[in-house]
Amino acid sequence: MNGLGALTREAVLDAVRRKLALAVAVSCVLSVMVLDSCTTMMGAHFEINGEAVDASAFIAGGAGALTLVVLTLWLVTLAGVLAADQLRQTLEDGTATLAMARPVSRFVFGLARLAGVLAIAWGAAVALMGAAAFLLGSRNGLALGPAALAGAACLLGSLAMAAWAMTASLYLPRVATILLVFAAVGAVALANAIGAVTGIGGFFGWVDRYGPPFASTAIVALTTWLPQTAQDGMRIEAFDVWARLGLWTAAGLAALFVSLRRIEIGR
Amino acid sequence: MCETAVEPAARDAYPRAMYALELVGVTKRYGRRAALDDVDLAVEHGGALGLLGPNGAGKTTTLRLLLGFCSPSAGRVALNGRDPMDPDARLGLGYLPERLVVPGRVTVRNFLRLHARLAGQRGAEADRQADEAMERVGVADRSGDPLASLSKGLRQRVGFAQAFLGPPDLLLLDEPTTGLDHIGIRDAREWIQSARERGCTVLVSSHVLSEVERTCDQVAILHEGRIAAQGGIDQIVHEGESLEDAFVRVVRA
Repeated sequence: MNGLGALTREAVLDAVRRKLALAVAVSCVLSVMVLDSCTTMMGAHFEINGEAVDASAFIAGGAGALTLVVLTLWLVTLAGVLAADQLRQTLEDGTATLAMARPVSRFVFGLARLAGVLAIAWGAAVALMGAAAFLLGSRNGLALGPAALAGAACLLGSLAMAAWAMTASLYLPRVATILLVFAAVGAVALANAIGAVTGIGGFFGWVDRYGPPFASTAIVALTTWLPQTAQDGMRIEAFDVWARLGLWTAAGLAALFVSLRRIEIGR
Repeated sequence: MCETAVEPAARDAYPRAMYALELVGVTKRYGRRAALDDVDLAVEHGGALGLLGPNGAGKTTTLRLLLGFCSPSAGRVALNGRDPMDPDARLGLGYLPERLVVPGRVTVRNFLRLHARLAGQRGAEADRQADEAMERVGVADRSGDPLASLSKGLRQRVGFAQAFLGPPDLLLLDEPTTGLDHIGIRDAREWIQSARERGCTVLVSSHVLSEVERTCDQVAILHEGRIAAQGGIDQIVHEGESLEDAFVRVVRA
């Protein structure tokens, strides 16, 4: 694994030099500010047929779960967008050519670039998901365990998306890869959201059943935050979605390293 | 340039093959076009080969095959007897591309320190070699500057510095004097010569025939993907001819 440490450090520094890390940090700060205002709830009290009902927990759980699922999807998209550029840029600017003229394997080079993406994407994920979980827990009394599980889904989803986006970037122009990332996350989000509560067919049904379950894993992790009626209507199998996300991640990494091994460099 | 060989154990782990680099019956096709067609080429350890040829002759493809950047469509390529796709085959390899295109935001010092590490040096030794290399090629006073701010000639000097990190046992130089002024060209010649005195094998791909004549003892002339002539300079250049005359004669024939 000659050069892995040096190349990973260089990948992170490269993102810092290109101000990508700064842009992500600024967007994280802005997101935390939005979270701060969104997680403040004064209470939800209703009167139904003359009977007082406290719906605070009902609303806090639903809103909290929605917040973390949206954050997960945003962070998965971020990982994909960062990955769309990280490897391709090195092939264009000569970094890859010079590095791979050294006793550095293509596997190590790809791994280092992926690690560079994950250092930023996972850093943002830990900061944002952590801040959201802390605010929701301290203000609305939501348990931290499900949030931690949703965080794990976010990290695994980011890894899967980064690996696939990097693979696509070896064959597609940068803009096409980024559009593909947005389209994939959008389609998965829609399919998972509908599929969580009702059976669907067609393209979105296929995406929900076989696609990378970026949203489903977060939803299933946060089920205990939801009111009992919502939990009863949930159509997601926890083992199925976690196993599928694991498979998509493994397949993404395999696709990346096989593609990297096959491509011709510097042509 | 850099006198201290580090990680000799890693390099010595492999037996020394007869040739430092070798192409045997190599054909490389891009679609239906053959960039190289049944090429045989070999350089012994410590030898220096000038690879000549008009544009599109297949010189860059030859270098890319030797670097493991692509695989031959047919035939065998070897660095010290090993497949160049194997990273260990590239132990002790120094490469200078025709144009040193690198991320412009990186400083000269950080660029060389990274490459010293990739060449197998560690920590303080990597930093020491990078500093020494900057001193030797005359860019020490620009060590903190981004590469993008350097002139073409200075950037080529930095390219030489990175190629000589390690130090190398085999140098692949693609148009090494591109962008250098007369003093730079003379310096480059001295750096190559000092590497040869250390026992380094050199392959120079160049259009500048006078440079090849001064730095190499063997030449191979590639034309339309085939070896048109190969051997010692005195074997290829006839009496009363310059290398340029011989090159034109071989290519036109």
